[in-house]
Amino acid sequence: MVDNWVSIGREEEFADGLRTIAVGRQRIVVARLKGQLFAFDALCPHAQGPMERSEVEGAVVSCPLHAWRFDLEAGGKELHGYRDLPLHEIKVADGQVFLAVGS
Amino acid sequence: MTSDQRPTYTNLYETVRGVGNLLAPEGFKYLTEIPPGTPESHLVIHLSCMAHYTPQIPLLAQKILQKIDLDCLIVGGPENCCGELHKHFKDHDLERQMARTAMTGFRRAKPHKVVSICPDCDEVFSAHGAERMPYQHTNISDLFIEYLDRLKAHMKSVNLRIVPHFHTVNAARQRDAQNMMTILRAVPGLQILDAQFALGPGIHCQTLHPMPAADQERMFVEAVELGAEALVVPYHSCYRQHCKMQLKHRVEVHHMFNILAMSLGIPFSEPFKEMRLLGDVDSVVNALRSRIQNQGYDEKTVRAQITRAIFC
Repeated sequence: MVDNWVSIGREEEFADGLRTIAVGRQRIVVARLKGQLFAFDALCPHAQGPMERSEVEGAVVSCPLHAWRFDLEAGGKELHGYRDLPLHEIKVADGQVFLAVGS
Repeated sequence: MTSDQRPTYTNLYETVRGVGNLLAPEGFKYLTEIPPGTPESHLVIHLSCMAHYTPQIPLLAQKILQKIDLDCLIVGGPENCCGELHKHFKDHDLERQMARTAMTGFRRAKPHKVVSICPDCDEVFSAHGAERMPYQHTNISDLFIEYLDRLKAHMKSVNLRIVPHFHTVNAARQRDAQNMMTILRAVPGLQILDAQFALGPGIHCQTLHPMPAADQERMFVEAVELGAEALVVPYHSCYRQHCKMQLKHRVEVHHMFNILAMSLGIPFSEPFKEMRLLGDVDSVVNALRSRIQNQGYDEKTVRAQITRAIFC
């Protein structure tokens, strides 16, 4: 159960594509893909590649370093069977986008 | 190539993974990551991205070394890309990160030596501090020079008339060319012909900067006129660019390791050449269909990858 949600902006501020935000000292990528919002760390879990520069296909984001491919609709599953991309919980309430801190 | 036509890293690396898997011979194994706790390995062979299309080259390197009781780890996949693709697309920050990630990763095996198959990798790793690593990083041709005397003891005659193809754009490539000549001269029975038009452009015969068609044709015409049975190349890329010429000229194209393998009695297959000589993508897809299905690949995707990797 998440009890520490922080507001990160109005829903309309998160257009299709990727946007990087700072939450405290953490850099988080917020992605709106196929109409859904996702959030994940800005560094790839493999070799710390810049996920904000991911190549995007549908809801799959691909790290621009070694092309590890993460299916966001499948919870960040890496499609070659490597390490998954942990996703942060994100929700919209009353037009405001909230991110679960520490998730 | 215009920016509109720029392929994505995803497409490029998925092609490396996909076509590499489809062409991999039985028994070919490599690590994408050296797991922590891996026993110390004297030698790491770095398998560069495009060298996955010619898997007999690293496999032969490994088998040749086994002939003289030397073991090695093969480390490859896009996970160990030197960053040449990022350099090509002018993403220089990513290039630097790629090179450093790969070089740091090799350290997990505590190797004394890391050898690359590809001259691009040599150049990129050198540019990003390979000399500061706790291991020596060289082109693989240096390694075979180091062990040539031990290899000679196992060599049998190879009765072939060959033209060597080479690159001499800088000191490193000149050394590779000299190494290849030294290796070939050590093979008994080999007749090395003196050709005038076998010099390739740049660092190697790159896909995006290949030997001009007219120069390539002249090289093969000369080889035929000299009575050559084979053109021998130092790099995987040259092998890929030139092997299609076998469809037109009666001159076999061999990587220098093929010649060493013949001399050492090591059997090998040449999956890339075999596929390229089928002549078209449909025939290659037909030939690979059971592998495509067994590995769960989508045929349409594979078709595009084969076009990019084999018929470029």
